[in-house]
Amino acid sequence: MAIFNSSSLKYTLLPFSLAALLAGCGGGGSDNATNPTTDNSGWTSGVFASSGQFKGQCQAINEKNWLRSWSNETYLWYDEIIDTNPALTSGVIDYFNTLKTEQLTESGAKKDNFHFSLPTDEWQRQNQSGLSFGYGFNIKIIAGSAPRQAVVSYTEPNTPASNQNIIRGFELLEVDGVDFINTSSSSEVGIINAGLFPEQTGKVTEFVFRDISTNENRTVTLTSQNIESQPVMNVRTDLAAGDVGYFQFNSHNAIAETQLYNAFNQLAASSIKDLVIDVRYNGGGLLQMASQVGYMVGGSNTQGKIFERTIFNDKYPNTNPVTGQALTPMPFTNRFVGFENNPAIVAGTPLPTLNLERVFVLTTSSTCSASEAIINGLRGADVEIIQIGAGTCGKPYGFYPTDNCDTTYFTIQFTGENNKGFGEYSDGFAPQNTIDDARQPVRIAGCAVADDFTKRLGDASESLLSTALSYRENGSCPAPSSINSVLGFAPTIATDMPEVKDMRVQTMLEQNIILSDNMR
Amino acid sequence: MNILLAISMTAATLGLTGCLAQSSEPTPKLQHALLIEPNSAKVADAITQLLHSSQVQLTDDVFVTSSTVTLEQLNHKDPQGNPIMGKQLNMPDQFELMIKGERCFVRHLDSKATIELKQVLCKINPQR
Repeated sequence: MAIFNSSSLKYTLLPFSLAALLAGCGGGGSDNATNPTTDNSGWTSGVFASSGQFKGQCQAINEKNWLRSWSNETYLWYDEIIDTNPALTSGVIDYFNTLKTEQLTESGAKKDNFHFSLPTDEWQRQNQSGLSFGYGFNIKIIAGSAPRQAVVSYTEPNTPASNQNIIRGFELLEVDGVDFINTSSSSEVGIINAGLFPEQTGKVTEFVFRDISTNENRTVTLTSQNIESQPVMNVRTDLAAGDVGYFQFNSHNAIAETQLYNAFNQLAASSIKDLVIDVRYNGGGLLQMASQVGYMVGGSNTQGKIFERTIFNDKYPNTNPVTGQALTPMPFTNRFVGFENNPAIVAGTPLPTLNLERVFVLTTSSTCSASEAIINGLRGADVEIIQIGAGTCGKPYGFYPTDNCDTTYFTIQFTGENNKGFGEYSDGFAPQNTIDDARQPVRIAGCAVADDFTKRLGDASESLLSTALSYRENGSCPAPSSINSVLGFAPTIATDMPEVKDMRVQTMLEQNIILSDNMR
Repeated sequence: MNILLAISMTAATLGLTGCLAQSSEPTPKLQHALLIEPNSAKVADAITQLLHSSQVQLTDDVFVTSSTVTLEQLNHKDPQGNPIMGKQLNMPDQFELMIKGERCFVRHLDSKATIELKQVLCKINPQR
């Protein structure tokens, strides 16, 4: 059941034809290709029929054969998949989970952490850009298992949460009378999930929060509603006596384009000399929007340079295997695209730019994908990045969600390189003095500072922003904050132990897993 | 699915043009429109039919103040809490409300797949 939208409509037939071409050329390669092994089921290692031969044939063996061929055709590291007989793995999803590289990065981390599948009807659900169900607060899970800890990272304006003065730094204590921190009851965790992750408007939930600045408890009753997010917030042009501008950028979604356009016009009209972009909670989105941000920062410094060159596996050096279009590098986009139609700004309108030679970025591990592309793209154009915060997530990869037999699969199909041909940051970018040695990030200028929930975002005394301002003045960093910093919280790594998940298909939770102790 | 699209587009085209040949009135133009009364449920139903999607979440005032709406995939997140689709190359889906004569239509901007929005009242959008 394919998604019936522009993208899938365009792409439905292409994989078949491209796969047929591949099959005609003898199929894809594997380590076993030169010495094939055939068993009684007809499977021959290293020999791949066209995925089109199995598409939409919903017997388990055909679904697995489709996955095998499709992965061989489009997976970025197809030649690192160990080709096993699909008949010997019982479940379709279990088999899909074998169709990825098991190699490690230099740091010892898994090379591929981004291999997913979802029921297609769940994936197909869409919402109006920027719209979600909720109360208007975004919450970060610091510890997912008891003693749990979760804190409000920011609130959206004009929402039930902001109307009740719920602000960044509020720590969650209770949900509908359930002890959020300590409960070990799975039924109570269910109450927490139902309250935190409403699936419809009108859900009334009582929360108890503690303001970590004042240590006072607040009980509030909130009713879920449609929340219209504001991805660009807190634009400031008055920092450092007007020399420094700032804005918070939360998502590369369609509605952000106009807000970015307005923000950069406001910044360009001021007298700022430096800019701080706060992408600490920006997990990415539209890549071309990242290139717009790159242009609006770097302007003439980006002229004639590539923002990102998309790279598929080596079977497709010149062609996007999904769209069939020729691969052309993405430039720094200097015009309004119109991701969301805006009658007031015609597509093609020139974007404002600050023509900066350097920019400060505030990051955490929630800074991901398209947000990392801003960093990498500008570095490729020799615009200096000064990074304040924690290391980014490390996701230069992307995929085209692909449906077969009511399941939608996500397998890494492309990566990206900047103007200098650099794109290896699977351990993320991190400030130079980062002390966390579990990963091997690309270290760049800046300071390692833990997220500071004691101050509002955009407040000049908030740790990341204040460090950016002081680094700008004196070029030095405070002692690096570790993940155990008492000043703020650094994100924990979610475990894959038995879990209660947010079962909604959209959430405002940045780490949306809560563990119930008695389920371990 | 492409067949369904073709059927949808053909049906819509026939719907827009088929009966016009019997009329001596000037052919009404297809123009951008606004809903006179909010009806997000009917709009969502129309879009889910066009998309063959199970659910579309819209603001209550969709098409009341603007003739277009942009959709995006819900924000599915990975076990690390980051969006699965953090790096999208595609343009998001956009839909527009159109009016021809007295009839209202929802049209997918890119494919031009169209469906009539029945039992609603709309008017020409003077801003478009």
